[in-house]
Amino acid sequence: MKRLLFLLSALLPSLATACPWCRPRVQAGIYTPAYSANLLLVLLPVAVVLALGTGLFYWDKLRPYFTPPYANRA
Amino acid sequence: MQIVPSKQVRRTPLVAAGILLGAGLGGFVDGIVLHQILQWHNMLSGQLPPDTLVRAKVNMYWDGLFHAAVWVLTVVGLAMLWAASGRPEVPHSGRTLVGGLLLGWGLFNVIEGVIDHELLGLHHVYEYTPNHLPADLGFLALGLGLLLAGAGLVRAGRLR
Repeated sequence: MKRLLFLLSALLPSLATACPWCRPRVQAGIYTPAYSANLLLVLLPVAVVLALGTGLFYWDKLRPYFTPPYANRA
Repeated sequence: MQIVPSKQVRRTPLVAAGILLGAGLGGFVDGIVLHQILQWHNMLSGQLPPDTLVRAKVNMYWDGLFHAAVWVLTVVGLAMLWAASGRPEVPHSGRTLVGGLLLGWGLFNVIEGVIDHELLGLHHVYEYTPNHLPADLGFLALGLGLLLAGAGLVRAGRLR
């Protein structure tokens, strides 16, 4: 038990001091002039899949917009 | 239970819900297994290698946004599944749903693999090697395999 407490007391200060030291640098690394571009690139694959899935779900309603008006004529 | 003529049966809403759910859950597999457990790559590790604590935490932020986005995919898929299950013309087919799930996971792997790994180079599947191509191609092959398996299951659901 004493050993466990010693280990915890040795770990806790390092955890507590790590964040104040690096947080401003982390924020500076995230909020760069390239933030919007990075956001767009990270979300791009998810947006493509979301658009495909949503389009397929509403395909019955969307189909007339993609069908030429003369398609049903004999 | 309302009987619907076979010509009016609509499977696309169920397949679409499965695709979004499968893509969301596949995105979680990518994020949890490859980003966090194996630590093979992070979202921007191709441009910002996580070789310091600060860089690792910046990558962690973008990994978090990726997870948030695939969570949204999963929730939208769940909402679509709920909406589809209430429509009488949509069949209650486990094969069609599981096929859609596999299609979604495969689609996600292929789209993410082509855009992020090959076109943009945001990251590669396994960063800690000079030759990224084998792992990247393996990821794409897994995606194609899932697409084929999903298409087969959707087809099997249609034939029943």
